[in-house]
Amino acid sequence: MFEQMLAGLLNALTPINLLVASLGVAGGIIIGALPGLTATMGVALMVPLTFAMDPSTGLVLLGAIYSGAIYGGSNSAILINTPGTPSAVATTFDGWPLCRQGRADEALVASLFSSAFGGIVGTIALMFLAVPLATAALKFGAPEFFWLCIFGLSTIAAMSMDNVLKGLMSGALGLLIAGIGLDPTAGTPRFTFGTDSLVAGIDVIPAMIGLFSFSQVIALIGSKDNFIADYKQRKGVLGIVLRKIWKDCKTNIMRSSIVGTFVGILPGAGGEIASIITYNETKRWDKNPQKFGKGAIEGVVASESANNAVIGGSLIPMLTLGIPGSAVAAIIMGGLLAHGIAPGFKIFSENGDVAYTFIMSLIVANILMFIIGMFLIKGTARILNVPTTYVGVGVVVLSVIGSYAIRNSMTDVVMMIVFGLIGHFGGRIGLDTGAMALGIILGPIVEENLSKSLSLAGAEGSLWTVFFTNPISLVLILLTLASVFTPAMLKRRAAKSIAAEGGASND
Amino acid sequence: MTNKVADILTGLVSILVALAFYVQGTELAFESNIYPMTMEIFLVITGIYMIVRGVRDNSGEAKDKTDINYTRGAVIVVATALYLIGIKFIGFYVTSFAFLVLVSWYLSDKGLTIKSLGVSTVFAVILIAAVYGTFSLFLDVPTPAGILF
Repeated sequence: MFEQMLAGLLNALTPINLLVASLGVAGGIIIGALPGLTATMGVALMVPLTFAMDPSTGLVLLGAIYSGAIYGGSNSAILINTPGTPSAVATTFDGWPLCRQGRADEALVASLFSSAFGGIVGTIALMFLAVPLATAALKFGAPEFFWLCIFGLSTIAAMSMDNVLKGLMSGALGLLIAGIGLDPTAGTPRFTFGTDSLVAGIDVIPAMIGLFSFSQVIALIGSKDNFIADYKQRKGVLGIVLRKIWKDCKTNIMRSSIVGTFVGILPGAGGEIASIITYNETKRWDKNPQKFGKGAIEGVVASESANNAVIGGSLIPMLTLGIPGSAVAAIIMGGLLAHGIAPGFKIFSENGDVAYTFIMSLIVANILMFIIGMFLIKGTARILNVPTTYVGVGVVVLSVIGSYAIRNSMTDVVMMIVFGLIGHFGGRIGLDTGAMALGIILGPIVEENLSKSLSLAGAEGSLWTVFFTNPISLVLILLTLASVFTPAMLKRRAAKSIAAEGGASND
Repeated sequence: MTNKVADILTGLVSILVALAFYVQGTELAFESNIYPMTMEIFLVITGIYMIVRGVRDNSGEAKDKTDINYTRGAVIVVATALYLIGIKFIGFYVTSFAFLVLVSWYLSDKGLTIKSLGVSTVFAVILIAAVYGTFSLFLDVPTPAGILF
């Protein structure tokens, strides 16, 4: 195995593969940074190009685009509060406040380093733990998925600590809106309000672009500030960020990368769920959770290391079992099949050269991503020196084409504007756009797995057995309860300590 | 806006949304209705609580102190609506160019001068060229089509 790994590494380091990986990473970053263009779309668009290439070189390209695009999503999340890809939603929670404080460079570098670190951890897991992890993931059925999503939703309690009830209401609104379209149980249209174009449902990406981007455009254009932030390029930011990560985020980045890897293995659970869960956990375990949502580097580190770690994780079931863990993994699997390579346990013995070159190239791609990303950050951060009026109207054009590109539908563009207005005016009355976005993302997965679990319970004759007796479900339920009640407990503890300090000073 | 008004509005909005979804979902079968019904009940209960909390709140505390110029905000919303109509009939690139030039010029803090019109035009040319290069040439992503480009 180690000989094959070494051969794979040497193959990944050939000039042609290094060139292809560099181009793939740079292209991926740009695709990811553009709102509406997802990693899935980027990889899918490049698959036909790989047909003319050697199979390993083709896979190097696809893996590099995938890694670059997932990181790229954080650039727009930080600079214009618009997640370039859905998995960067949690990055906006602290990335945008950091940007407004004139610390966009710190946020971007933290995101870049964390993404590369998470990507490498996920790939190492893919190298050494593929078989046991894939087997463990197969134990996740519908009830376990249901509880995993409920655990993800419990983030709302941590996210909206200042007003948990309004956060939960925003989440519930998102979950309800996610129900628009075809009923997953009966297959009939519902909640379409007499509009045929809503039968296809609300696509997550136009909704995200509206909630985060268009709502922000109204605020930007209406604000008295001429620039998004008072930003000046500084020297030594990399050192500042690395010292901060080394001092305060060692456990966070490692935990988030491991969680991200495991979530990636679960079919259907992608970067968005991983980043949301790890953001929640990081906030919960932090000694000062109040700083989250106001510009905490820790939040960016958690979200970005997790969503890039998902890449290695999602490839584990694809390479070992032939079951893709994400849409992108499915496309890469299609690319493998097109080259006559069948994924599964035998890939490592029959096509070990291709498999290990691909795996080792992911590590190389993450290192290249860090180098290329550092150059690109200098350019992307310049957007902050453009007057808000120009940024605002430019973002409208990008939001329109980004929303349209998903399904070539003007309805999606209209929905983007509607969600923008909901996000803006909802925000004015205290509704939480982040919580609403979580509801819209997780709603379909929650409902699908709830329906399946209920059918299972009907067949087994017991709701209790299906939902509450499986050890994995029990662990997830306990984590959810801890997640929901920890913010209130921390708040109470903080109030007590303030009262005690007040009492001591009075004495 | 005070906390009182914000809470009452939040309550009213969530109850109205829940009722709208309830009316739309009356014909759903039991299994299909479990998930939305749970959300609707939650929204109605929390909505009523919010209204009661708002009515009882006499603190007069301000909810949102952000100062937004809503005339400029309304301009961008109306301009975007007209932009969407234009895209449908004229085409994406021509309408986008006109939108970028006119709206950035109108909202520019430099005033409606020839110089600022020039700056807006240069900005629009650069952005449209970048969008065309990325979306149409490099990625071959379809853009909304009209009678023009």
